[in-house]
Amino acid sequence: MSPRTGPGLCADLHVSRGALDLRLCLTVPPGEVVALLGPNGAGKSTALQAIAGLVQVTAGTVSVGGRCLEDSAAGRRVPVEQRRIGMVFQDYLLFPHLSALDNVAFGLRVAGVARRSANARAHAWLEQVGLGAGEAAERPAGLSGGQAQRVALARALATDPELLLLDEPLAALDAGTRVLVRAELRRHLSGYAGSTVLVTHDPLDAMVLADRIVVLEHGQVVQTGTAAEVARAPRTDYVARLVGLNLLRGRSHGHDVVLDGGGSCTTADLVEGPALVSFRPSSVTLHRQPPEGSARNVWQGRVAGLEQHADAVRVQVEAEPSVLADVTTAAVADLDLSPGAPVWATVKATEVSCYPA
Amino acid sequence: MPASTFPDRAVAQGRPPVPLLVPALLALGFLVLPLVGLVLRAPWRRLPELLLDPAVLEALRLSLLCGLLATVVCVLLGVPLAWMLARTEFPAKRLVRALVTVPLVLPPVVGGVALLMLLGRRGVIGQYLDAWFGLTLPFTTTAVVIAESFVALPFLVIAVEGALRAADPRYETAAATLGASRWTTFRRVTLPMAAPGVAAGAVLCFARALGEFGATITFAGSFPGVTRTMPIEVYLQLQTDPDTAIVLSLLLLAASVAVLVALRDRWTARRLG
Repeated sequence: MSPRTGPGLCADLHVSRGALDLRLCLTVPPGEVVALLGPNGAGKSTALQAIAGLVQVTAGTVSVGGRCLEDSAAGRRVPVEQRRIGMVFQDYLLFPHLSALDNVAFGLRVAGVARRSANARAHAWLEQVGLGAGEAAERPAGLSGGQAQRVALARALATDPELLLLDEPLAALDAGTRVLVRAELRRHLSGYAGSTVLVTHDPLDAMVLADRIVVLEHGQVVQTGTAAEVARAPRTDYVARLVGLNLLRGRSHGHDVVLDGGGSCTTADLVEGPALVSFRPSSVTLHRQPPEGSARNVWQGRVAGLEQHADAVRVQVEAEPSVLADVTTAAVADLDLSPGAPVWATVKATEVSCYPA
Repeated sequence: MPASTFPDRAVAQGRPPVPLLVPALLALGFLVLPLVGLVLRAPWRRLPELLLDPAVLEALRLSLLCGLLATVVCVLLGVPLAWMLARTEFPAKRLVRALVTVPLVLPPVVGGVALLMLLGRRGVIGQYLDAWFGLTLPFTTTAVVIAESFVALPFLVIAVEGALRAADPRYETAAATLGASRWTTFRRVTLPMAAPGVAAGAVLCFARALGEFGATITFAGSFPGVTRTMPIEVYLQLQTDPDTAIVLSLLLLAASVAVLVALRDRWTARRLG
């Protein structure tokens, strides 16, 4: 059982909505940033909305700083406007009829802060996110994407919420701006004293911004850990694909793993029982002839597809097991790799990591 | 606008066929020619003198006053109703929306009779207004405002509901996360964002109120300076002094054109909503 209250955010949620059946237990102490990472339809945004009180929770509890916001068993439900949370929406939802300053001051004005003092605090927040008087007077339509994102963050933080919720905060930005804003957002989040929950489908956002990553798939938590932990030892195909690793499932005995999908694999790690095996596509070597050498894992198959991937070509090899291999463009030409070509894929046992499933 | 979206349509589909073109031109003429006739027959030389006729000025003043008051009443009552229809769920909502549009299709005279039955001295509510407060509504300026509000309110409700539906409700969600109650959100977010729609609805509402005849003459009668608005004055003058009737008609035509100009972006270029 999770603690029902405590410092920071404690959420234990079950939300049933159409095809989605979301179950999430989440504790975020003050100062920590947790990223909910997952594919589309995994229920990440629904989870965020449930915490914010924007969707009906089927069952569960939500508390922030010991204050109960939702308790379905006790029939308690604090309405959104009384939850005292800060929320940044994917497309920011800055009020188009108000200036950037009035947008940031909105929460303070609504809370009864006098205009002058609210404006002064809004100005201070805008300054903190790097926006001056010029941008403050601008309506949202006159702001760039990066500026609008910063105004949205300032607006969410201006009321000093204990919980900050960010829904795909960088998704609306173009690639160039994104890198800049991401670094900036990291800085603001580390300076923020409350709990932060961030929803993203971009692993880089999650890794840069979050202290801890919770991976959601089909409404279930499939993995949780620091960025390094998740990247090193993915537990699902989705995560493996995100961090660019081959992931195989099987049953390990000593150094040998009998794979669920057929074939076997030798690793340097000692694991007993159900296990996950992962290795980098760049650790895979391809040959057109049966290879000689020290590699312990040799799989015969054929090329299923080729795809340019950064500065390498990612080759899908259909074999037992099927794997991804990253090779240079020159190697593709030398080996005359084309779909259907028979190949041998090899991986050294030392390149393969194995961990209990 | 659509023509520029399909620059090749004329080339691709050729000339409009005669069985469509001829009735179309007839329809256009049918709509425009009477107004041309009105302008051609206008006593332009006597215009200043006729415009300053006390009866004309009186009708004009009364029409503007009642039209504006009716518009205010419609905005105060209609915007909340439009909000209820656009933003809340309640039982029999479809029925309510249908009822709102009834005065649009109801002959205004029937509306006037209905108002008399409700608010007349012997009416369902009117009898108590008379007995308890000594208040008699029919044949007063208040009755004009009531009659005009009755026929104009649906225009406002429909226009504002359309504007509210077009406004993204997620802004209201954002306001709620910032601590705004639903009432505060309505005042500070919903209403300002729907303001152009409310303004368009109000203009439309004013135009309809200004032209009101049937319900007004039935419920409020025709007392000079009290209930005799411009359309009623037109009708009466046509029998005694047609030139004055034409001048008043021109004024009403000018008002209609002004409304069209005010609404040109919402009403003529686009379809409503």
